[in-house]
Amino acid sequence: MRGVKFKLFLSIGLGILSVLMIIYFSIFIRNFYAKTNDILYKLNILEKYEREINYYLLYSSLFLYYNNDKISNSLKKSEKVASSLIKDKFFKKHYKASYKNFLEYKRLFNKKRMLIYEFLKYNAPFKNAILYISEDIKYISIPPERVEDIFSLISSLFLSKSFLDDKFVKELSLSKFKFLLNAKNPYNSSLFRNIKIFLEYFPYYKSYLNRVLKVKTLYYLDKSLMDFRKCLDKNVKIFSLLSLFLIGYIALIMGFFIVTLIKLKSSIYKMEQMLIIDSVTGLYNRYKFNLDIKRKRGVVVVFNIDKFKHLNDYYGSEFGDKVLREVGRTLKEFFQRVDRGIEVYRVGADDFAVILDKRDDIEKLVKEAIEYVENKEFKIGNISLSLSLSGGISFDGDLEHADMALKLVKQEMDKKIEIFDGKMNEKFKNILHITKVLKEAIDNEKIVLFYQPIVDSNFRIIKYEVLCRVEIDGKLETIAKYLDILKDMKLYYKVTLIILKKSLFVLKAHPNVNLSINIASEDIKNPTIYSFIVNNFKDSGIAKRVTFEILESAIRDYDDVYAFIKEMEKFGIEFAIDDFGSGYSNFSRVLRLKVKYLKIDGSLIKNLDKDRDSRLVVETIVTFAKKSNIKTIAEFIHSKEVFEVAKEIGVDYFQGFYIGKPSEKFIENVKKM
Amino acid sequence: MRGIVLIFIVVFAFGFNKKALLGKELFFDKDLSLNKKVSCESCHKAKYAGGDDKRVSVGIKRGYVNSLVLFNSVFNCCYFWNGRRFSLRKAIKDAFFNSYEMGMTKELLLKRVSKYKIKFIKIYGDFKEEYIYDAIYYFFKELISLNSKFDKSLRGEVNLTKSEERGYFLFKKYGCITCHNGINFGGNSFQKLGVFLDKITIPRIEDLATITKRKSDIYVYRVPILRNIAKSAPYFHDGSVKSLKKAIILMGEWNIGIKISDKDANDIEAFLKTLNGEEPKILKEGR
Repeated sequence: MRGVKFKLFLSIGLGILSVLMIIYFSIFIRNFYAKTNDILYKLNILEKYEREINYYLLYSSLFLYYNNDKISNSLKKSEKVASSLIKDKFFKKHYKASYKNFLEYKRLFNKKRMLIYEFLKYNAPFKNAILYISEDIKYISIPPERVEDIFSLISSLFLSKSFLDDKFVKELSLSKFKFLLNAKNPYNSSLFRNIKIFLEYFPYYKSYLNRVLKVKTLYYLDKSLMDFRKCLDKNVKIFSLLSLFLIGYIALIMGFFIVTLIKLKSSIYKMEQMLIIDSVTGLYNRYKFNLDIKRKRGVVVVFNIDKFKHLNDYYGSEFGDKVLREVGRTLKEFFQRVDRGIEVYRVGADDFAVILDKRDDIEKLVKEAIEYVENKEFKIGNISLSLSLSGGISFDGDLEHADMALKLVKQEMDKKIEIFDGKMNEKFKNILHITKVLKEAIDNEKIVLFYQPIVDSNFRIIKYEVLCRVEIDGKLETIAKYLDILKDMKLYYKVTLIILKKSLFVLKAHPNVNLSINIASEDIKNPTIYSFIVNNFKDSGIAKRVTFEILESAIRDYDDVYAFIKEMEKFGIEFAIDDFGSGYSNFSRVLRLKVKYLKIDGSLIKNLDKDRDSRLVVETIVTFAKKSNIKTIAEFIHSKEVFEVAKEIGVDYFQGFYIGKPSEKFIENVKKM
Repeated sequence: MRGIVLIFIVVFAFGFNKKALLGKELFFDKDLSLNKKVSCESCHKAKYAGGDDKRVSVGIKRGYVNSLVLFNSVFNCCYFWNGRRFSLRKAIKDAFFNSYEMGMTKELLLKRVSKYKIKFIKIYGDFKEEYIYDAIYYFFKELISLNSKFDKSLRGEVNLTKSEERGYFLFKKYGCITCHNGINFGGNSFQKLGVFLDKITIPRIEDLATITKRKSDIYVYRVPILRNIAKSAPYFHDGSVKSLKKAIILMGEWNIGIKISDKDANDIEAFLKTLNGEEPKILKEGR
């Protein structure tokens, strides 16, 4: 959880950081380009001024009337722009090479400015001299022999100015024209003096003009500009790299976000899976079932593995889990073959559920599913086994109802499938009621013992079978009807315990009475019952008068029963196998138990006088018993005819309504024939 | 709302730059000289177009050159008689530290100016030495005296008299204009005084050679401006010539190599007098 929080804050932090970085970067770039543009503009305009200055300079050298302001203003403007660039820290910092060249330009600019003013200094008198020479020549008075000299001189002067070449005047000797000064005419001397100025100033005029134009200001300005552009290119490259980096960084963060999101999603998915998946079978669990049934109402079918509890008890829960897994897988295999959308849920210990769409052949489908599982041989470890399955169907989509239907299947031996209907609710309500009443009765020991006599062929009462009645809704009813409920509720041993207690009391009160008490094979293993018997029945006075009846069909482990019998026989307690001959009786096993009595099942005795088959079976049992030195008891003797036949066959003892009905009181004398 | 906007427009369009007004205060403040007896205005009087009628001006000490006119000085290429400064701000600064003019030191100046500190902070957002010169510079920028009779005649608003007209013609014809050109009729180049003289008698004071140490710069001065020339007598760097007419004749002899006749000199003088401009508006402020 802390990791998630940290990641969350990290993500937010990184997000803010990247936003700040983008803002800073964009401001920086904007500033950078604004400043760069400014510098570029200034460098360009300086170049323009530089050309302007040169142009004005040449212009002033050519024309007599010329406004020096043009030059001085251009110089001023250049100075202003150049000074601002020199002071520009940004320029100095980011465009070092260019700045260095610019410094050189500025130095040369100062030099050039001085040279320009120097030039202008010579230019003005020089121009005035030309002005006066061309003016004076009109008014001078000279001797005719000098005219040619004068004209040749003047033309030399103008040629030299036009060609800007002093070779035309180099040879000139001014002293040749000194005669001009002697004349009275003031123009003569003016001409002489102006020629003198011309000759004096021309070399300066010429050389300064050359020098000014040769100052490499433009060269360094161009160089500065070039370096500036180079550097700008470099900076642009850096910026594009930087923005690439920024993009990469943002992509990284996005990637991080996405990875985190995916991780989060997958862990949420895992958690969801854990929530809805049953860890044993890998199928969806009951929680998922509840979610799904809310979404799509369908037909709910619950399957239960018959006698799964026994499997678990015998082979251990690890084995049981494997069985569950296999059964789940098989069920899923079957249903997915029908429709890929059908899921199998594990909704209880050994309960599997499916949700089916409403269709006509659901019962058939469920039957097929059960057959599919039952026909399969499951191999778990070295053990291969086949299983039987029951199914409960609820068309109203209620798992509880399907479960109820399933419970009803379990109560009926032959049925495999039950469909829930409204009446079942009633039944279950009834069961619930009875369960409550039973529990109450047991807790308050409201159990009444009835006694049915067992007699020998001479109607002598040998002993009484203890039968148990419980009061339900004011009526005493036989408890046998509720055996399954009692066993489900794990109350059965309590009933047995009550019977034993009461029987013990009776035995003590009636020293002449022998009792035959029903004990379930489960009771044998119960430590409470076991210790009760051992503690209270070992007394020989009592033990000899007691017979325990064990139901043959209920015996699961013959060894356990045998060990119990062996131990009890030491005290003198006798044993009878109850309902012998019902279902699959096994002579050899019964023999091994070495019991004293066999109680022949009532279904065989009932029609003994009419049914030949019954008679044959009973005859066989009796013959077998006699040979094995086991006494036989016939139940259900309800008529004289049956009694006679049983007696004829050789049954040792008799019990039934014809002999005596079960009663709360002991019947001292059974009626005589 | 509209009224407020209007006021703003008026103030913005016609109001003087606050820096200039502060500069004006500084300009007239005698505390800014060492002995607290002279201000800038002491030697650069409005009456004389920002010059002085004395031969040489007296700052904290008696100086040695004639006071230069300040009106229209922003148009000049460079400052002082020898043009040693290309920057007007630097020239202003120089005046404060010149031992003849204001005679200040940096610390003393800052101390004396500190009474304007609040104003500086209001206008500049800070108080720094360079802002002092900047304020005065802005004041100088307002010291513009144009719209003279000559300017008006160029625009065709007035006609020059015959004499003035002829003076202008001669001014061009004699080549005066070769150096005295541009908006200020000079102030945009350097020139040697006495091009046509073999030997010059006027004293050599503060010429360009004192800076450059070059022989060719001896007697080289920045060409003086001719605007308001009639108001700014005496003439030349040493203020040795009181009459404008005489100065005209001397310039003819020294730098043009001609003898200007009396009539021509009168006409040229008449023309030069048409160069007297209007009084700068900022000087009327607060009067």
